[in-house]
Amino acid sequence: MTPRNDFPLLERQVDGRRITYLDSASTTPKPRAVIDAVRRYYENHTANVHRGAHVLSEETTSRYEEARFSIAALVGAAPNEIVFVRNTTEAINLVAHGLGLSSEDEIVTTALEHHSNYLPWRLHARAVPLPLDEDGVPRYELLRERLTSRTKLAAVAHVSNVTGVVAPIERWIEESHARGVPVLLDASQSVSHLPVDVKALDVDFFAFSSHKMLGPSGVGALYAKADWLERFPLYQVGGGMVARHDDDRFEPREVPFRFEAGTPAIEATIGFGEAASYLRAIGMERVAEHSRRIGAEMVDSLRSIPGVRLFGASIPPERRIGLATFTLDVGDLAQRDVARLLSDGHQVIVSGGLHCAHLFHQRMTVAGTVRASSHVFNDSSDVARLAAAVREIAS
Amino acid sequence: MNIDSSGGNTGVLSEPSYPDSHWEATSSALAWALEAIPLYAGHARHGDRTRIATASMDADATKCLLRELPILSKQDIRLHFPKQLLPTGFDWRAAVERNEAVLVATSGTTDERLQLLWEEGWWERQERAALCLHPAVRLVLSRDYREAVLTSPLCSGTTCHSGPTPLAERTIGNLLFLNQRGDPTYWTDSDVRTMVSELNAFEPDGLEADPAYLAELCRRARRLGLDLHQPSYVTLSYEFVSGLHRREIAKALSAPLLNLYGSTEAGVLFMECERGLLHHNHDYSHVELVPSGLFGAPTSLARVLVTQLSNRFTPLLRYDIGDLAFVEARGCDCGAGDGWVLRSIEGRLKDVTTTTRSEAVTVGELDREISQTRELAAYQVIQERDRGRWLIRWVAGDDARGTDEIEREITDRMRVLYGADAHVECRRERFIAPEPSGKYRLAMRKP
Repeated sequence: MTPRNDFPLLERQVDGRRITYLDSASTTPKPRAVIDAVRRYYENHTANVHRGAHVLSEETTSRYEEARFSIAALVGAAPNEIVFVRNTTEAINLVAHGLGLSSEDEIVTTALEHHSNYLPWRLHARAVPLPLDEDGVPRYELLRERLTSRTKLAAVAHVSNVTGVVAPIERWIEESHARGVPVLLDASQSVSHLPVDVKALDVDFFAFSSHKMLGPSGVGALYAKADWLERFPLYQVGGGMVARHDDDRFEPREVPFRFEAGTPAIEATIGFGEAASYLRAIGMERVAEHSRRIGAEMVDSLRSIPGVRLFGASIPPERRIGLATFTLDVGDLAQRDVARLLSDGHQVIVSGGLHCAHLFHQRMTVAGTVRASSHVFNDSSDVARLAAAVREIAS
Repeated sequence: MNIDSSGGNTGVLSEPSYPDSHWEATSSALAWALEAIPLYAGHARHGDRTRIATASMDADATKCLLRELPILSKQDIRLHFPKQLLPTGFDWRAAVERNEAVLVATSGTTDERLQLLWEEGWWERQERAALCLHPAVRLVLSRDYREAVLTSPLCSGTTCHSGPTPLAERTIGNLLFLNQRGDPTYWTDSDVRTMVSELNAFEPDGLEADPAYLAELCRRARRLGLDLHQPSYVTLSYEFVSGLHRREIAKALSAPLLNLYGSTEAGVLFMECERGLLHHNHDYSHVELVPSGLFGAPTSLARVLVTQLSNRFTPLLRYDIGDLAFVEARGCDCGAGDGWVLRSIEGRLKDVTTTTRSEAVTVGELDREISQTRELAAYQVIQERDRGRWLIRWVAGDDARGTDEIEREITDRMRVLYGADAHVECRRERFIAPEPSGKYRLAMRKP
């Protein structure tokens, strides 16, 4: 759907063969537009933001704040509802801190979650996970009975980083709100695969990372409804977040800047904004359609290979993205070794291991899985190369 | 600027009449600046110096000498301020310390930024003169009056250290400065309530506003069910006045909406009259209107060159303000006086876009067409020449039709402007970011 030559990384060869990149759930290659935006910052603008009187600082501040508008536009938010953070993990930790939780409080989540959407709730409160079915899909229908008077938040991955399954978030939000419980969506895997409108969803918190949506590493964003941000206590203090500092008091700046202490990841944020623009220019409906199609092709082509066990494959393609997670039963070979063989022998780049989701693997009683995950630059030939490589390893 | 001007109309605009006092002031200002300001002294030839010394310059000689001087650009000001633009031997630091002078700075993109020196009280004097060109405003100003100001606080260089300013500190004499944020996008409902409450309590006779900011305040106040105090007049300044702004403001304010045109560095140059035309504030500046020469543009589309008549510290001679204006050749019979009359301010020269046939389209021409789409709250056209595309980003106002219907209308209007075969793309946005200066840009060309 998108010219491969937008992505210089895809030209990389290993042992004389071009790579097949299927690890976008870990991190995505960057399109030339993003690389150029970062390069332009270094070559033309290098300066700090929100501080300097000089021309370079004003230019940099302008590009940095334009990124906030671009990212807000991607998810249907207002710019003042977008807080720049380091990544999804920090976004979720900011919410955990902001809610002022205690050990008596409960956070309803699922056993499928990434550590980032589980450990903060264990640290600040008590995590109440929904169980998984035999296919590794959370039993979302149990949400209502897990919500209690002690529930302070319902936190769920919009799209699972392990199975690629899209959670039934509309119902999740509706049921939670009916009980007065706010909702956080871990959007790491969804924001660059699905159209999102946080206002239409009425979600309270929406956390995502740049590097999983074609942007640079080191920056992410938290969308939060403005009234939540107004109520949140300060997270970190220092330069950039303070409006006035006298001997006897200090006054923080307005939302969202009060949550952005210190010099931010300026060039990464500018690239983040460019990535959002790149995706919008393609059109998120087209991106989603492509992702679903590649996901379906991956599941279909892997399903027929002897020894392959797929997870989340009971869910229809329209509720999955372009991601397939499986185990390959080949004697004593660990799944991490399968991923290594795919890389070294076939130049197919996938993840192998626990994908920061230990609970899932414990529940499924597997020591690890292999995950192939696509993005806008992948096509059917990539799926065919993956399937052929897996088939050969299995044989 | 890289607009093709070949084939553009470069005819001459016939100059209007000015009183003798204007020519005397212009001649005198010119003589002094050519003598005292190092940058200009280098421009004057020996013969000029003789004529200046004998004060023999009449209107024609003054015009002639002006035309021989090079045009002053923003870049010239940046390069030569302060030493080459201040009178020889003038100790500007001491003048600032004695409160005789004010160092002012405009922010913005690289080619917009300036620093220069105002004489204390100069801005107020020449602005008042401009305002008095309108009889209703003159009447208000003839008695004790109060004015509220709504624009960007323009503190982007030091936002890290500038905090919320109490009402008392924002009330200076008869003026109240309402806004504390550099970008109205970040106004919270609480901010809007505070501004409306302060405005209503202050009960100003006049309101001077950036049109984009005031339109946003009116829109947000309406959503919150807040009524605004009704001033006797509203002057719109600081940036291009879009038809969208006027429509939104008129829903909330019944006072006449008057375009007050000028710039920080040049002063207030034109004031809108009761007929909707703009009159020259000629006691404080001499203006040359030079045909733009843009391809496809009529002679009446002109660049604005300003020569200041009363700026003792950093006088600007033949300064190209960077904007375009349509001249009203028939003049105006409203009684506002002599001098140039403008039909409209057309926006910045650098924001001129072009049609499929390379004809220039000013921001004003664009706005007159696009702002007829009633549901728009904001828009921005980006002409991407390398892709042969005109992208229009737009924001829906309240009670808008469906996206498809609006985009069909916008596309039709864009094609009326840019050509029936223009490749137009529409992109709906929730917000459009302002420039670093806090102003909104309605059109631009890339690359």
